[in-house]
Order: sequence, then C-alpha cells, then structure tokens
Amino acid sequence: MLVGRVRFLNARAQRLLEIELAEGVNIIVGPNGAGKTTVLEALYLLLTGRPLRAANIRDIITEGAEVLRIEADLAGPTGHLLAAAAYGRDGTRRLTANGARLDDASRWKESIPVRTFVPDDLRLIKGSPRRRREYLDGLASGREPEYSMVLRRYEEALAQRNALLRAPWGTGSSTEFTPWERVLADTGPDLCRMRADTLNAFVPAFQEMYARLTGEPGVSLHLVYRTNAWGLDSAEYRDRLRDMRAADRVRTYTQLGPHRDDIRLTRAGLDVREYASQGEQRTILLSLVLAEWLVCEQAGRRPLLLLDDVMSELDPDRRRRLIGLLLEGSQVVITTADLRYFESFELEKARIIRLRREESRV
Amino acid sequence: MFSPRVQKLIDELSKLPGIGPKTAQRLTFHLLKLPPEEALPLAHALIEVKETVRFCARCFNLTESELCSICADPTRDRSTLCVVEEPADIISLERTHEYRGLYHVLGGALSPIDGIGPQKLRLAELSERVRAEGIQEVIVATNPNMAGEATALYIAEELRPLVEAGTLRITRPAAGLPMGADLEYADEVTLSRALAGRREIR
Ligand SMILES: [Zn+2]
Repeated sequence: MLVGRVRFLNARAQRLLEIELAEGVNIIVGPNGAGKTTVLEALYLLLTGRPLRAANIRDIITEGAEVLRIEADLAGPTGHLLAAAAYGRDGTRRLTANGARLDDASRWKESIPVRTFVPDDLRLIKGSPRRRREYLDGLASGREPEYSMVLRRYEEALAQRNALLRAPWGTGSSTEFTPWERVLADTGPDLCRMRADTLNAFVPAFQEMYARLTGEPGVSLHLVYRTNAWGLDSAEYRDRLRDMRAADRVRTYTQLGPHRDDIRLTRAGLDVREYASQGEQRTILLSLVLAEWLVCEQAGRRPLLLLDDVMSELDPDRRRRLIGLLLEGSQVVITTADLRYFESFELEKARIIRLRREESRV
Repeated sequence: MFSPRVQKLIDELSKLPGIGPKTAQRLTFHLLKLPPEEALPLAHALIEVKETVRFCARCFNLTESELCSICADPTRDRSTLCVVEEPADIISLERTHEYRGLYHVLGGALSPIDGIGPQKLRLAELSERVRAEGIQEVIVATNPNMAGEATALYIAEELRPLVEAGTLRITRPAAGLPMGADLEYADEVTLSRALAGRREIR
C-alpha cells in the first residue's frame, strides 16, 4: 500500500496541514520550525500507534488543543482505505479504518511497515537491549511466518511465570510451575534459533548496505547474537528453568531466556558503542535501517521509509549514493532545510512539498 | 452531584465486569426513566436468584437444590468426569447430547497474572472427588487457550499417581476447537467431534 493524502490537526505548531504524498521519493522542504519533522511524527504515530523518538503522545498535541487528529488515504491494489486516529490529551485514543473502529494500529503495521531514521536518535545502538530485541523481532517476523505467534506464546507464558514468582500465595511447588515452563521450553529454543538464523541471513545485507552508502568495505561489520539460552533443547531448557526456580523467586523474575537477548554491533571485533565516533555510529545506524528497509522491500511488503534531515549529515558523495538507493524504494519521505543538497535530476524524480512557517497559523 | 441513592446505584453497577463509570451512569438514568413495572422485575429477579440459586454441593454447577439436576440424575454415567471452567460450559456440552457422565466446575482457569492460583479454583475438591467417587476417566474440557491448557497440565500432574497406578485415564478434547476460543461459543458439531476424538494428556 502507498500513502496518498495526509491531513492532520493540532500536531505541535501545526493547527491544520494537508499534503499529498506520491509514490517514490517525497522531499519535504522548509525552514526550521516549519513542521517538517511533525509530518513524519504524525505519519509514524498514525501507522504504528507509537510516538517517534522518546516523545509522549501528549507532547505532540498542540498546546491548548484537546485532540490531535491524523488521517491518511492508503492506496492499495484492492482500493482505497482511510486510516484515521484521534488522540486526546486525557489519554483517550480512537483508531478507525474507513470509519470502522479498530482496537490498535496492528492492521496498518501489516499493510504498511514503517522504517525510520532520526539522526539524533542513536537508541538502537546506545539504548537498552529492548530496542535491539524489537529490531530483531521486526526482522525475524518478516522472515519467519510463525515467529510472531511463537513470540506471543513465549511472552504470555513468561508473564505468567513471573507473576507466579511474585505471587504471595505461591508455594513454589513443582505443579504450579510446570505448565508455564513447558510452554517456555517449547517456544524459547525456537525463538533463539529463529533469531540467530535471521541475524545470520541479515548480516550480508547490512554489510552490503554500508558499502553502498559509504563506498568503503563493510565486511568487518558484524551483528553478534547474544543469548543466555544458546544450544539448549526443549528438555534441557525445562530442567534449567526448574533448577533456577529458587533463585528466580529471590529475584522475582525469570533469568533464563530470549527475553534477555541482545545484539552486539562490532567492527573488526570491537564494540561499535565504544570504538566508533558519533558520526560513524550514525552512518552504521543508517546502514542498519536501510538494510532492513531493503530486505522488507525485496520481500514485496512495500515499506514506508521516513528519513529526518539526513542530508545535512552526509558528504556530497554519500548523498548521491543515498538518493540512488532511495530511488529503488516504493515510498520514501525525506525532510530537508535546503534543496541544494539534491541534484536537479534527483529533484525531477521526486515530489517536492514546501512548508512555510506561516502555514502553521492557518 | 447526584443524590446519595442515585450515586449508590451507579457505584453498584460499576462494580460489574465490563461496566465502567460512564456506562453505569447511563444504565442508572435509563432505569430511572422506566416505569416501576418495567424496572422492578430486574430487582426481583436479582433477589430471587440470590436467594434460591447456589452451587451444587458435588460439582459446583448452578442449582436450586442441594444437588444439581445432572448429579441427581441416576441414569448418568458415574465413572466419567468432565472438568469445565464455568457452569455455562456445561450447557454447551449438554446441547451436544453426546456426553452422559458427570461434571466438575473449576470456577475459572489458572492465571497468576490475574492472581488466580490453584487455591482459587476447585482443584483440591476435584482430586478428592476423583479418589472418593472412583472415577475412571477425567476429561479436561478447559478452554483451548494458554490458561486452559496450563490448567489441564496442572490437573494431569496432580492426578498422575492414579494414572500410573492404572486406575485413571485423563483426556483432553481433540484439537479442532479454535485456539483461544471459549467453549461457551463453540457450536455443537465442533464440540461433539472434539469430545469423540479426545486424547490422553501427554
Ligand atoms: Zn452437580
């Protein structure tokens, strides 16, 4: 599916804004404060149900306004769909598809996967392991059809076992634990295997993307899968959980399992977090996002790529390389303060959307 | 604010499952608008049901006497026990006209997240009944979701000594019930087929 017309009300300084996106590359240009990033924030919120960057949804609602509304026309082979969301300052939310109520944004996530790059946001590299697990989950669920179902079962059983560890009525008896541990032992090893396979298959795409973006070899870059449950079969996994009950009750959480996985990003064997400059970390992060996006594109899922002010980060040579890549995608939205970052032949192939500061007071 | 009596009704209604304060308020105003002959039957029905209906002393089904109609029926097969989560599940299973044994209502399924451990369910009563009544087969017909499956495994674990002694079979209705679905909403044909194809747990 592709995003066509986008309209939103009460997003940050934008009282009302309507734009029309095209297939291929869309360039949103305007001076600082014109609300370029707000367009990406609104689209991201509508399609994923979550705020872009660390912001709370409430922070996106215009000061003094009660409700933020976002609508987008989605065009697919089977026709048009109007996706709409309303977020209230009081925490209420209402999502609809052609006016019919939806429980959450998962329907949009399936029809339009969204990938983003915000230069200031290095959380995927520097932040908590949770970010990297979510990234891995996104990769794995695109590759392995049963991944999401296995993950859901695992997480439900894990939440039950953790609740049991904390339950004041819990006796610690074996029969209380076994039902949940059986599910964990059924799903945990599968999750580890699918995550490792996914990452192994993805590393070459990541290395290639880095090389295409920078013109430098990417083979020294690696993504290393880290788990505390490696190599356990179902029976061993069950025994381990059983043996750890007492210690887990003291800590009040389950220590063994893929819910504590992480990915280490290395170059020539060294951790990128410690041994790469800030600028280099951004380039690596951009390569990660682009590689995942291209894998998604090659799987025919037609993702939407949102890039915030990425051109000012790159030298002219890397800019040309990036635009070359973006022209291969089905739909990209890129913001910039200056069109001079683009060559005229590139601009001819793109839709240019100009925002002025005055428009924010319509 | 509302008068204390009106507020009391709103408060009581909002204690019901699935009813928030706003709905409770709407229901209250609806009831206030009704003529007495339309509103009072609800109050009477509530009083009657609370004064006369209770749980069966043996299987915890709903009944108006000491034993429910199924436990009191001498033609039922007393060697087989079907374990369900709620009394509503018995109605679904009875509609199939396939099952001729007795029942045992647990009153829910294991779910530590919701604070439901073994002692909140009638699991001790189940073990006791199986031993005291000389039951030969226990069919665990808890819902086919994770909580229902976990409860089935718990029961199998608890009664394992009897199975190993060769005096008891523990079975579970065959797959075919949609995963995550409630027994209560399954149609008769699906239920009969699941019951006929039941298999030993583990
Ligand atoms: Zn009874």
